[in-house]
Amino acid sequence: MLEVQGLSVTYPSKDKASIQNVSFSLKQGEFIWLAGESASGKSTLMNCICGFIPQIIPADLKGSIIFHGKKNLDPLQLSRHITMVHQDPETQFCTETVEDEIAFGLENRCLTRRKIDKRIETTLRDLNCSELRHRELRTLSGGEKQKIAIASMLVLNPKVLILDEPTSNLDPISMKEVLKAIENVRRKSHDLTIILAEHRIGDLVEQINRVLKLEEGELSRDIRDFQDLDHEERNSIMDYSYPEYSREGVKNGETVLKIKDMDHTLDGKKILKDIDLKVRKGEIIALMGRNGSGKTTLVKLISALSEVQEGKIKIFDRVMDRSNKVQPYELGKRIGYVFQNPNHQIFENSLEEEIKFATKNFSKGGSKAKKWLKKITTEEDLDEKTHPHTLSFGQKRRLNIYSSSPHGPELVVIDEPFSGQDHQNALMIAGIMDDLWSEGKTLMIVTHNLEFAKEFCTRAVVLKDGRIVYDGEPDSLKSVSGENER
Amino acid sequence: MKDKINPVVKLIALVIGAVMVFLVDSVMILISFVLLLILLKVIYSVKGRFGRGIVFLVVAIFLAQVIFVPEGETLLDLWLFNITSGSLINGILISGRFFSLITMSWIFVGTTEPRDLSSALSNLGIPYRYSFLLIIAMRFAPIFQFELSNVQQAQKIRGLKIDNNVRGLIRSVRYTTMPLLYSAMSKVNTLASSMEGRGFGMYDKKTFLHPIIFSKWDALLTLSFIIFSVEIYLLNRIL
Repeated sequence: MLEVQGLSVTYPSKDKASIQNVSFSLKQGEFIWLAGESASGKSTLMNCICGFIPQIIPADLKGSIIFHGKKNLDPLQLSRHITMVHQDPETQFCTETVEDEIAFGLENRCLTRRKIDKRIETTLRDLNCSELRHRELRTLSGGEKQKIAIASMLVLNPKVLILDEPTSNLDPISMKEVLKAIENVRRKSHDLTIILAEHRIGDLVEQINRVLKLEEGELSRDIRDFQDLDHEERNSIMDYSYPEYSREGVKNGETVLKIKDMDHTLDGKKILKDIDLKVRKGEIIALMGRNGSGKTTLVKLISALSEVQEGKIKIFDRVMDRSNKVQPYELGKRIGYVFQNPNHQIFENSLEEEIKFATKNFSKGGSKAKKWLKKITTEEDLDEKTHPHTLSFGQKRRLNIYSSSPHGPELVVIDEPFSGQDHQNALMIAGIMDDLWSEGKTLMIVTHNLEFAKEFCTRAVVLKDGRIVYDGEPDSLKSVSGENER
Repeated sequence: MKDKINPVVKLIALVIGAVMVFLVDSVMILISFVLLLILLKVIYSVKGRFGRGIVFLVVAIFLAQVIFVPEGETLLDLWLFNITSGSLINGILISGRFFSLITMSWIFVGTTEPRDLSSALSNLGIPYRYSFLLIIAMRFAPIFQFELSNVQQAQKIRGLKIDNNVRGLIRSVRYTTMPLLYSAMSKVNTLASSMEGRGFGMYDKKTFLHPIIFSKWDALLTLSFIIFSVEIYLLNRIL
């Protein structure tokens, strides 16, 4: 039904093709796992199948995509048959309520109100989330948002459903919820062709009947009978392990951070409750918990990016409470902070200036900045003058970590370093964080990744609904949600 | 609180109201109007308080009039300037107009669902491609606000100090625009794909799940607004 022939795509800003000479054909009802590292061309391929490239996203496209005998259709024509769910539901929503969002595509197709109403009802029921119908989108959890994004596409009765890393921004429980929803969709409609690009697919692997793997823009594997692969072969595709760092917990030593009886309220909602925490020099803390459990709020308070309302934080020799305020740039000399979104923290026009940004502001750490600049340019084969915004997502994330701390902060906070990263990128980021720790820094890493926490961190702190529900060795942690610890 | 009045009627009332506050030069009428607006804001429990910025501007406009534009009889002779009857009236009128405009727009935004406004405008024949922009703008405004605050925090923690002068302003714009722009650009393609991928623009018309139709009651309400405004204007001339 869908045939891709000799497809090559080059973006205007790039010299090299993002995908090269990719050919395959799909049959109705196939469930395809599109595997491959970040920047291997998965998103490009999916955007081509939907016709978004070159119509919405300009690029030079060679080859053809044939759907039911018709060649290179435009996105509006294709929208009748093929729909795509994007990585970040927040960006693809164009209305404010669940009902409006799901109705959107049907309204555009001029269906009657009665039909729209009926279709919304059935689709939500199929995805087991009828209770969400009258909610506002902003009140939903990450997993619920992604389910509604899937519903808004599924309601159009597509022949092909494409899912571009739908779980990459989610905590493990939401991730399971979404994968379960996809499994339900699969069970209910065997005629639907599903293309799922995802780094980790969990139990869904049992449902998959074909794997397409992209490597550096080329189709490197096309495994048609995935169910027949032996254990070892499957593992070679699904290896998520981290090297064993074998670290010991830090029992003694200087206290760098002490939080006492801290509560925090935001828009009338209590985000943090009774937080008591003591962190020693040299610890690597995995700060875990579901989306919305208060992790980011906590690390922002520690870094003076939010003001303390109740309780007290002592960080190094500074005390922050209701009456003692500290400016973030005063604390910035001693705390490095990496935010979640790479784009929000790139300010300069070249790699060199970007890494030197903090050293210039604090007049400190020039030689370290030079050393790291050399490291990143050699390892990634880049020029010092390269514009940071031309880097890949993974490269930007590594640049963020490098540029957060050349001026020698003693504590580095890293908020979700692995979000949206494939395993290879995650390993590289872990390597950089290990370098920082080896220099004697204390690390606080907000993460959903349990394997990483167990191998890399010396201690895990789990938040649930704003409270610390686990504080101890990562090894004895069973889940990251705080449901079955201790 | 959202009300049930057709958003287009409210939009017309907003335009008439804006014209009226400039036509009216009776202090009594303008003060009554200001009180009416405050009452409406309370009745509809429109979110937000009159912040320091607005109060400051209203007071500043009033004082500027009183001090710098003397007119009519002197009421009070102060050492540096006189307070005159004309300047006092002008001060009340100009600051009252400013306050009314802000409050009216505030009530309008606070009581109107962008979706309903879009639907009501389309019902009057405005192409939905344009009226839908309103919904998009409302949806993304809080997201960009959140991003702006993140970008500023990221600057501060890496030691960027922005001075309170022109140089500081230029620096702030320079280091804030680019991250926000790149972040926005990465969203634009996804949003466009998500909308076009669901057939946005497929036909000239589309269905509205919650249509807002301009009824005869709406016409009547609009007419009564107009008649009321004309009466006020005539009363203003008599006063």
